[in-house]
Amino acid sequence: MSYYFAVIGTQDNPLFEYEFGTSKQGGDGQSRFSAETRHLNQFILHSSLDIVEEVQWTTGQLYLKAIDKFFNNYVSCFITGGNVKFLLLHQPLNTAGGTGATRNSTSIAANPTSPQTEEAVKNFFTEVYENYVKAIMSPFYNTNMEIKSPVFRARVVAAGRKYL
Amino acid sequence: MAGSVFGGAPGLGKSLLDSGTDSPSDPLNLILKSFVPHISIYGSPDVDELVGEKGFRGGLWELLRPFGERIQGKVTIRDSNGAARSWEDFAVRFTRFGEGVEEPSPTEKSADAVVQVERVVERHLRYAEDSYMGLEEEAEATSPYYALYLRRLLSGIPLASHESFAHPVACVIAISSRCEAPIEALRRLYAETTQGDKKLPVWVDGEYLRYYVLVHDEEKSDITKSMALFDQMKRHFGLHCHLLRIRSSEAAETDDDSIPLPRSDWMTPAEELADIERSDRQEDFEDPTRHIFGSDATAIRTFVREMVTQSVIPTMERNVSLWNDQVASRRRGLSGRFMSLSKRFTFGGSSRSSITPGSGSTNYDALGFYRPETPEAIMRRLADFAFMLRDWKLAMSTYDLLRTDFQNDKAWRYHAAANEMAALALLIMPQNMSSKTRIETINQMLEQAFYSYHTRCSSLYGAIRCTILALELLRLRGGSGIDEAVRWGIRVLEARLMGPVGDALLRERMAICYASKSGAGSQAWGSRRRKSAMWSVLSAEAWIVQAKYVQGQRCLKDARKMYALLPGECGVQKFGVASDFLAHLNDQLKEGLRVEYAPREDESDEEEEEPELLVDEESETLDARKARRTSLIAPGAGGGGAALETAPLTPMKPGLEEEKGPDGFG
Repeated sequence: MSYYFAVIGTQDNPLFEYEFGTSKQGGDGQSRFSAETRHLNQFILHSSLDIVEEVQWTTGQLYLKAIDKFFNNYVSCFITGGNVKFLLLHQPLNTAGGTGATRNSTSIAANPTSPQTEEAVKNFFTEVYENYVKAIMSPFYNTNMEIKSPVFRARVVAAGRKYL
Repeated sequence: MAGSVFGGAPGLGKSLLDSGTDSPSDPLNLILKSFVPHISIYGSPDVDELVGEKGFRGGLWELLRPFGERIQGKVTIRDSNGAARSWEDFAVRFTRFGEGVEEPSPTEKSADAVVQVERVVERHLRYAEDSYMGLEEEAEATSPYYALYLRRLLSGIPLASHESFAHPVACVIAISSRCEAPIEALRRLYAETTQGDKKLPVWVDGEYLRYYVLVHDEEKSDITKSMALFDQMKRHFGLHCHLLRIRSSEAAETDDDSIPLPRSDWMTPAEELADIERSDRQEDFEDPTRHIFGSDATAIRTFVREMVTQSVIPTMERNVSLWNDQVASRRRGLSGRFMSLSKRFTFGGSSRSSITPGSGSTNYDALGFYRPETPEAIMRRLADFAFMLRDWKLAMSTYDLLRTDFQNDKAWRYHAAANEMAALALLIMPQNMSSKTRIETINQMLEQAFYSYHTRCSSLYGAIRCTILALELLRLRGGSGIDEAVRWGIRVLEARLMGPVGDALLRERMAICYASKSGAGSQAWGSRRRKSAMWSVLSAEAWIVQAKYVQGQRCLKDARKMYALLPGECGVQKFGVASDFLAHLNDQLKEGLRVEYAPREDESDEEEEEPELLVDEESETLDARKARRTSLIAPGAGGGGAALETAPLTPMKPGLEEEKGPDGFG
């Protein structure tokens, strides 16, 4: 139940990155990516941009749901009107690593493709989107700049804790 | 995940073969050249002696083997509807009689096969590392190591009960002109192949074609006597005879008429390993290439062509139509479907007539295989013959029938094999249904084949073979087939079916799969460049872990090239961790390559062996510097791309041997 969230700009450049774990059912909010494969997360997200570019033209929705799967990692996407992509990589841990969240197999964290998870991720994205819009409305923010606002980060953290 | 929006359905109505594959190491060609009619060779002792005088200790088989790998000229095949098609690239496989038998309930033998393949490819890779010269490589074609891997995986199809590809379609019974009592000898050989302890197992159909060859020694025997004998043979045995005239002396390299015999492409991994080990152990190097006279080569080529086009293929066609009429078409009609239902309700019939197929289940349960007279075995042979004769529709429909039969009988090996071949035939043949439905059917078949092989039978070889071949064909189909191909590749990687070498090769293959997907529109929407680059990075990592730095460097270069194609800025460079990782890989590579490169600085202008691997074979034959132990091509012996795929073992100049000493040969 580890998550890696990134906001990708129009030039494949990351504007914002945040790694966290689930806070539901006793989770402590820390991500549990293994050290050997942690570097792959960025590759996985970057490569799922290929799929995003394909799927974004098929639907009029901003929320694209789960678009890609790589071994045990699932990638969901939300695309904004400005072709900025929010990508969330979730990796359900099926080993005994979780403190107890894995016991309940219907939890969001363990079931990345269930409708509840989709709903939760959608809510997460929507909240992040609202904050994102506020962040980019700042007159000092230019296109494809990194989002350095600490308030934005705090809001994302809070959204993660609330929904995921 | 939604199927590709932009992926068209290429090949709708076209067979995969029509889309044109010219490179001999292309997987489709490899597949076609491995599922070919197997012809056993059984010679009398005097033939072996004659051939031994020419320098071939393995008997007539060793002499004939390279010539079967490409039949000269066009071969015309009539399919079940009577339509004739001619093929340029027909091949057969010559085997020694009785070789490669796998019992119906093997335990771990299939794992050995895969392990051996890994070892062979690993040896070649190691030599490549050792002989790294710091040169650039052109990486457009199929990686030669992957082609080698596939070749070795497919080269030793075991003579098993559940698939009849390796069952001999014909048997060459050979005597020489030195034989004292020829007709007697021929009768004896025939008897030895049919009865006695040398004969093939009971589950092999004994009704294969017998082809009689009289090997005439040009230099020592009398031609009139041989002609008379040959006429006598023709009278006794019918038209399936041939008089092969060869010289019995050994051809030396210096003879003006001699040509080198090409190394066989399709050696089994066990044989190649034995070869490598033997040459490693030898102190002074003797060139393993044999030479034969040009006249011999012509005679053999003509013999093979005549045998195949005038005896083997007509016999196969006849059998196909016979079995089709007798057995399969009964099953295909409406009544046929009821027959399979009724079979389940009849209790162990001992009747084995072709009309009531009530015998299958009893036979399988008792013995673990189907006897060759049962309808299921006949249909399997029919399907395999059709596949070998490239009649995809007939093959696919027969395999389809067999799938349900074997499932009902719980004959899991047979079930897995039938599903595998059905999927492959379906992938090759021209299709009229949409790619979506076809891919679903294929996925279902592959799923069943994989499950049966992997879980029910623990056959590693079967599981790997079916997924890898299907993966290749799916890739060639293009469109949404590419995503499916990668999905299957990930299945294999996840299940850890292959060893480290296979793993890394497969990852490279995933990168190539994705690279072959072209998108639509100005921004190439629907292409998979980033994914391809990611897989290249993963494969580079896998290679570096095994210390195969040359391969790792190539993969990293591919990744960089792919990233450079992207419209945005340099790929993952903006991602901190990812670009750190790439830099780290780069450092490891430099480190690894530098260590190897240092002692070799004195030969910086060595021959370009690495790019030569992928260069067209014609230029290799013109290369005057004969590198030791490189795979050889005989100009004109129709070797056809032989050298490309078997990578050179130690590409070093003969003059520098003394300098190299012990470390030169790994």
